[in-house]
Amino acid sequence: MSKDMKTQLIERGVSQKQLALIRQHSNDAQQYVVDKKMTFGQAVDKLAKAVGPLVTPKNLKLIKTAFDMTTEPKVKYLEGGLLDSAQTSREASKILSTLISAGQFLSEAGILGKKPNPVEIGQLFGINISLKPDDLEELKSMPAVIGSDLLFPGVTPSKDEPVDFEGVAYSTLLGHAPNSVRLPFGVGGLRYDKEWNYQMTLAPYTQEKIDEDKRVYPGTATLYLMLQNLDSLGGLPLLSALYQGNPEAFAKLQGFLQAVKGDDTTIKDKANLCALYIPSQKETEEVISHGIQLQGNGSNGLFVPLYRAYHSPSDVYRKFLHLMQFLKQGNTKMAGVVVNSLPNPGTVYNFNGVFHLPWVQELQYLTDGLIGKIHGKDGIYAVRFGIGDYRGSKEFQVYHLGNNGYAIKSVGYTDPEFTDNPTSKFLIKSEFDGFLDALQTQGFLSFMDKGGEIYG
Amino acid sequence: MAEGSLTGIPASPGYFIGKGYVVPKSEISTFQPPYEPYVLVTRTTDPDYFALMYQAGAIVTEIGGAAAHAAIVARELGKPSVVTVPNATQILGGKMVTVNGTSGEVSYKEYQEPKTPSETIINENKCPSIMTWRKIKEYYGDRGG
Repeated sequence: MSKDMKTQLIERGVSQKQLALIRQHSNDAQQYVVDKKMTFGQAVDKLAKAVGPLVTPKNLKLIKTAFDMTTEPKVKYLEGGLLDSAQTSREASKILSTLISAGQFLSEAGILGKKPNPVEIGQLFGINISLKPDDLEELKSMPAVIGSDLLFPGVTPSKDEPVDFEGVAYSTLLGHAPNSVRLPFGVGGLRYDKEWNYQMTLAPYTQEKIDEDKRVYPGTATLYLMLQNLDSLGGLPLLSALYQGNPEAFAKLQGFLQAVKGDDTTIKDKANLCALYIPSQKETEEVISHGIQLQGNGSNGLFVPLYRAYHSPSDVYRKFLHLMQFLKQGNTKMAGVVVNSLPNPGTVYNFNGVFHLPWVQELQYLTDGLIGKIHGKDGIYAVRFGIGDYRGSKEFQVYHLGNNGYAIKSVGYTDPEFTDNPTSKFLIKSEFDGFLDALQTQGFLSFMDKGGEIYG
Repeated sequence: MAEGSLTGIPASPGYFIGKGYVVPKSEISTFQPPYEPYVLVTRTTDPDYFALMYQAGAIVTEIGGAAAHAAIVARELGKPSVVTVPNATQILGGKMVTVNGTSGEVSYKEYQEPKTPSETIINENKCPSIMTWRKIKEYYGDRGG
């Protein structure tokens, strides 16, 4: 199977060097495959061993106590695709990430002039140990020394069969679907677990991250606390400096937060798709025949702004941290730039997004030679992304045509798993512009939820 | 060298001329942006650079590829960017820098104070829906337009 697909990729112009990279990455990725039978105790031991050398003895004691206090969780596998995250490892990671998140929260609260006590922190993050005041300082040091690199739980096959990563990578690059997204390296695919795959606006997302996910990004706590203290925003020490030094930015920030707080849109039960693939020569000719040339040089990278459309809001959260860092330096001018860069408050974000790749920093090398770099004949490749639910699916394929520019095709499916009866159409220039405008103003997921229509 | 040209990997299409500002990571939070959009020059970028990238007219880095942070964010922002430009941080600071994000060419010459502030901005990004087109009177040579 793999061999046939490899041949097809070669025929489409993919170099042997790139195929060798895929093979190498696939082999490397095998180390992240976890046996479904791994017990919670084994997962905890493995994680404690990895963390031990990084932290202080006091920190390690705190972590081990948290592990010891946890009763064996009930493990549930949800995904119907090829792979699921390794659930016992995930449960162990979650305990550690709760402590890390609490530490991050404490540090950011401090910058905002807030001092949560041990009980408040314990309750907010659901920490299962009785924290003492000294422990709070220990928690604060964890984000910097552990980060999130050890929190990738690994993957486990959904069915009792081994998964051929190399084959899945080739299949994805050829545009076959469905493919599981839960590959340690990032060529994307269809994300099946609709139960844990939903979109929401910033305020409920932030609440969800703290209440349920227990995994916060830098800046999450800053936004959370700003939303909690919206009525007395100017009373927070550094924000008072913004109010005095750059009142226009302060007013804009206040308006942004009010709009965010008032919008609690949540969209559930979706399956998402994102994949890179190499179009066939016939397909390419068809695309070019539509004469859609939108940019001078299409081989330079991804054109459609997937970064904002698909990314989880970690980049938005980080802006709040940047805002405080600039204010700490008395730099109200750049603080104003940060406020100006905040997104449309109505933007919808994806919880567990498919484009959230690679998973963690330490896996980043697995994408080398893959994302954005695989070219077919004349530098032609494409990105397909879409969303589906029980009613059907819609996909957009963005073709990168080397020096001939870009073209985009929308594909509709009656089957939510992208298998049957696709109907497709090319977008004319004005439709394409409308599509991009919609992405910019609404975000991809919000746009798709409104039917994914380009106009009208 | 007062004048010259460097080549890198084109990461985000478009064309921009402005003064080069080399900003190491340690100086991000104290950076005072100039009145006019500038060319941000760094070894590499990460999310901490976002505000500077947001305000810059173009981004040049010494390392990275088409999928690097600088490239992805520049495309998102609709700003020209060239990555993997050797010695950019040593050469481009304080110079009048021309960034061609389509061809990957980054040329430079001695900086001269503009006659009026608005005359320095030339930014024709051929990505119409992403950014507002800004094409203001050319200041330097015969380029732009």
